[in-house]
Amino acid sequence: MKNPIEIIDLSSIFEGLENKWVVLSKDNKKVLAVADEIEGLGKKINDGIVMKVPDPRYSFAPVTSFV
Amino acid sequence: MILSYTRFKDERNNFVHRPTLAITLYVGSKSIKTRGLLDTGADNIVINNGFGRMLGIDIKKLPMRPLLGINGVPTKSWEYSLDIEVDGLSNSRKTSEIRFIDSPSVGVLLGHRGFFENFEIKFETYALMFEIDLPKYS
Repeated sequence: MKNPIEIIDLSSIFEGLENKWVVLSKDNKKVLAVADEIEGLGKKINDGIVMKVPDPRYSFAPVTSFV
Repeated sequence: MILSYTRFKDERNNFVHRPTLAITLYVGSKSIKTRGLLDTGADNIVINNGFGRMLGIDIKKLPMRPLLGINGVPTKSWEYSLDIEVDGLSNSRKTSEIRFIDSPSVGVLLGHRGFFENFEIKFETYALMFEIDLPKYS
């Protein structure tokens, strides 16, 4: 039986935005705002889903470093 | 509630699928919608400091708790409690202990304390789906 749920596909719309902060539309189809720091998203932060875009150069397993 | 995995690109330009979940973080009258990564290997909910700043929290005044990641080096985190609601799941808003972290790569990780302990979650990775519901048992 085929998966009945549509995949949320961020692979294309996140291209070139690695490590940026973005506001994603609530339907997950469009990027509404981009900034280097979350503060740069301004009032757009209230318009959608706020995410830090993963860096596609690396597989993700959370690694910490001393700060 | 059945949800799909989220598709990203990996370092070979192939697709990689991760279980991310739309949630809302609440502090007082402020809120932010985001997507958190369901991380069964994490003890805690870990949230980037940026969200805390936008929610009006003075993070450096919070109790500092060390966290250990896979590279074995402890890092600073700051303990706080805030409300988290799973978008689309009624009665899912819970007050949870979280850790803020200053990280270039972490947005929100949803770990055991404060998240997995509050929900029934079933992964069906072979079909790129997962199910999340309120717990049947206390």
